[in-house]
Amino acid sequence: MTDDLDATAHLGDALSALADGQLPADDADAARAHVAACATCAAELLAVEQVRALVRGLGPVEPRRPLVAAVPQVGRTSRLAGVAAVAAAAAALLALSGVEPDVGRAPQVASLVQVHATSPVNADPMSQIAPAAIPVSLER
Amino acid sequence: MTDAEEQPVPDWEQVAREYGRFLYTVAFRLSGNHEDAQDLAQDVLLRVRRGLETYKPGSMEGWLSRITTNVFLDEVRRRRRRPQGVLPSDPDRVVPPAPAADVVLAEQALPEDVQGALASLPDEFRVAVVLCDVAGRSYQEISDALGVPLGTVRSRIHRGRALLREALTR
Repeated sequence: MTDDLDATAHLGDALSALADGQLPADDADAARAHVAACATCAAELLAVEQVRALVRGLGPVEPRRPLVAAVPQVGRTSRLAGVAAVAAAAAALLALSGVEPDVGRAPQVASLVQVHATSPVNADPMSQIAPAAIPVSLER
Repeated sequence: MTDAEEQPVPDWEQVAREYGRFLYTVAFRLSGNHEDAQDLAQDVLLRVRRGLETYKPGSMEGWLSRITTNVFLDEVRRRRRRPQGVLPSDPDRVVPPAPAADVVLAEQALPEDVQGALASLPDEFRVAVVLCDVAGRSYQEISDALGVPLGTVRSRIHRGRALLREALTR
């Protein structure tokens, strides 16, 4: 009879609550008593405890860049769009000045792109030159 | 100002300095990669900076965990609304098999395996497990943060662990 009761009353998710110390004292006592008598629940509790320990054992993760409350976030897609816009604007300026873009010019464009990519939005040097030509979208 | 219950919202720079690692760790375990973790953590700091979150005196980790979770889930829902062919999952309908004990598991699983298994979980399970085992929140706090009953929290944590185990022994 006791076996039948145990078989129909496996603890299930109460085992996680037990492992986490989230059961009221009375319930925890009853759960431990059940586990002591039920091989199925004892095995499942062990499994829960193992997985729990693995996740809790994961170390802290360090940010790769300093965290800032930046306004706004420039996502990956829009950053690429911004780079393309800057490159296009730079090419247009070069064309207007009658200078053909060549290998020697490339590093200048690259440095503008670099400045753009690493600057706050308002510090974009190209926006001072040709604001209307840079459709930078802030939507991700 | 006259409300004695309201505490001034902590300065975001102080939060970043003192809780940045905690915040980033939770963000990374939720999102699964550095790019999204950085965006997520910074979104949280931005909300703190703009005073968008009511600060209740208590655990700073609990407060940050709640904001981080909500910002993360908002972003998840936003992405799901896009026509990507990804249907919202119903996590409570997923019934993983009961885990079987495997004594070697704990010694074999590398941190990157555990992280990979975590990333493979449906969002709702991962959120519950991360809040419990990474952020160290109580079931009651998780229930409050997610706006779901305690029983649901318990069920998601347990099923999440079962799925993790399945992923790690596959």
